[in-house]
Amino acid sequence: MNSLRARLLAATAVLLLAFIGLTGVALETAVSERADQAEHDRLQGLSYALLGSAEITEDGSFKVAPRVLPESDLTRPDSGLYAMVLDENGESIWRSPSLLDPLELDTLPAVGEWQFMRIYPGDDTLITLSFGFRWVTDAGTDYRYTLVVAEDARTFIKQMQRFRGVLWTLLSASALILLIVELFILRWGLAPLRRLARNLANLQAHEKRRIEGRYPDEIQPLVSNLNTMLSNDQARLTRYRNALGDLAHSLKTPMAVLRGLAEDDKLEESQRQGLRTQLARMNDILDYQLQKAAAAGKRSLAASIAIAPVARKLARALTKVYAEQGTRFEVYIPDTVKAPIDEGDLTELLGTLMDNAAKYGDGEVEVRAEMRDGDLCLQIDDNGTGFGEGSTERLLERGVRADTSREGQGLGLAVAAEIVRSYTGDITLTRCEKGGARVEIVLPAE
Amino acid sequence: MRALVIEDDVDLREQICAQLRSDGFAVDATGEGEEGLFFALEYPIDIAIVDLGLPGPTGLDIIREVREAGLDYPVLILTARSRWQDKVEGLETGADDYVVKPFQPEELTARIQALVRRSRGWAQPKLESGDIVLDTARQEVFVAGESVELTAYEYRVLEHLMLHAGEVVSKTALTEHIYEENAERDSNVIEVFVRRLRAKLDPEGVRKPIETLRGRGYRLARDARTSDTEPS
Repeated sequence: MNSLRARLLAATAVLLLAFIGLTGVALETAVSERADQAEHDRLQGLSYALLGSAEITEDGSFKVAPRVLPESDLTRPDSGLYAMVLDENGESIWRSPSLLDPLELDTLPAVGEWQFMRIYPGDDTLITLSFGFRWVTDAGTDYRYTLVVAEDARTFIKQMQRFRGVLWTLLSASALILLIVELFILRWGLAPLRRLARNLANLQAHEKRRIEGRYPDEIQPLVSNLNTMLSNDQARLTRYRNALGDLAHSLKTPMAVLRGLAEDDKLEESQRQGLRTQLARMNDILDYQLQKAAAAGKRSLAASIAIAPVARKLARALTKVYAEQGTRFEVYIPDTVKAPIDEGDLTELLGTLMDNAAKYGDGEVEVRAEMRDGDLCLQIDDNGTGFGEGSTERLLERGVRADTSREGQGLGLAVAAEIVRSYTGDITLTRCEKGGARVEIVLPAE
Repeated sequence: MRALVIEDDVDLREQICAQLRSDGFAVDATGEGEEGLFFALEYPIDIAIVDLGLPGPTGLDIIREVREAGLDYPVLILTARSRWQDKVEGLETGADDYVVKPFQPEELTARIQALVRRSRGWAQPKLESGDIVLDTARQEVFVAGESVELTAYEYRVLEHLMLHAGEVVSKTALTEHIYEENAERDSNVIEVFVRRLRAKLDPEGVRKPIETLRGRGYRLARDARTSDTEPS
């Protein structure tokens, strides 16, 4: 159960069912007790009326004239309302005309006590109320009797069943309505979270590094913190790169002076050569490490940027740099090609490879990019003589040069490979159709 | 040719200046962005070499101001930052080329000379006018295939006239482009240089390569600039 909505819905459903169930049982119990009480009171009233109209003879027999019976149902046989009187041995001494056979009761109440119980003769259910009493005749004889009144429970049970039906129907309906309302409440309540998720997705699709909009108090701190993190992330990278740039500046200016001194005629040629070689080595190491350190690499929530503008900007700049050679830089990249790569890294990667292609090519450099299953594919071609025979893998290692006659150029491919690796991508050196060198790069979307 | 060097490191600035002077440039130099900007806007510069990491107005600020003022002389940036973002930013702002520190002195010279030549419309390092050939890379002058020895100032005058072949170049302009700002100047000296140049380039006085336009200046015939179109 991985969705907040499913969790809340499940919890609410369980709670709601328990609540509805308990409410139903409580209501049913209360109503059924109330109904029993009403029945008890009615039968008690009937008992008093019977006792009031009864006549006890001297020999102890119990008589009620049929015309004075308090309920007409007592006179109609099998009407459903019955009365009988038992003597102290439990023998029936009087029955209402409605009662054809005496009723069997398991227990009888003591004198002055009321006993309310249900009995089940045959298929019927009878509600009975028994009362134990003594009767002292004028002659002073003391008789012990038990009066039993009973009513068929069929009507009672039917009423209770109808009540139960209505009760549970209403409760189920309200449970259903509550669940549906709960669905809407959840949809409405969780809407800000859905909006946040949408904005996070947008963050990667567009070139902005901020989550826009106002969120509920519970989420706002999270959103603010994310925004702070995003802007700090960018600011830290900028600061870091500036620091590296300053380091490069403060080291390379003295190195430039040293490089100039290495041309001093007063030095032996072998000494000058030594100085030049060591300076070139220092420069290579410094360049490689600085470039590697400045690469941002894959970052979470990185914005997607369009590839074409960066490539075109580089093509314009490089056209100026290679004006002497008249090198042409062609960029064939649709505007729709976008990838979540840091602009600095992309500029570095393309700049290094396009510069390399211009240097080793013969006046033509072509840059292509396309999306393949969400992955970004870059391709840089030149019209030179290619990477030559032998293992091209070695060229991607740090500091190995295909053409050792040109100073410091071996680094280009190694730096590019380093950036590609920081995006868990692949870089391949091959040969293009025209025979020149081709560098292919695949940067995976995820 | 007059070059402006804006570089805040004294040693490196001295080195570059010395190298440029030995390459036949009149050099103005400063380590201050503020002063550099003033020089860049006010002096008759043929090329500027600007360090990007200057205190005060940065190299980028200077280039931007120069281009906004409508000045189109070539600008070469010197940068310690080898990141492409920095280089591209400099080139987009209006620089024409870059050299990353530390650099080989010859590379700097080659880039500077190429920029100056290209800015004057010459596609290759040899300037030609009639049978006069000036090799900017080696700083040698040939007349009809024969090498001619010139002094540094004579060379500068000839180079300037050849880069502006077909145009009238005033004595003042010549003075400004061959002398540094704080050098002793005397426009009469120009006449001396031109006379000596004529004697060396045309001892018999038949071809008359340098015209004098009274009251306006000098002009070198542009007849040989067809070499623009055919690669050597």
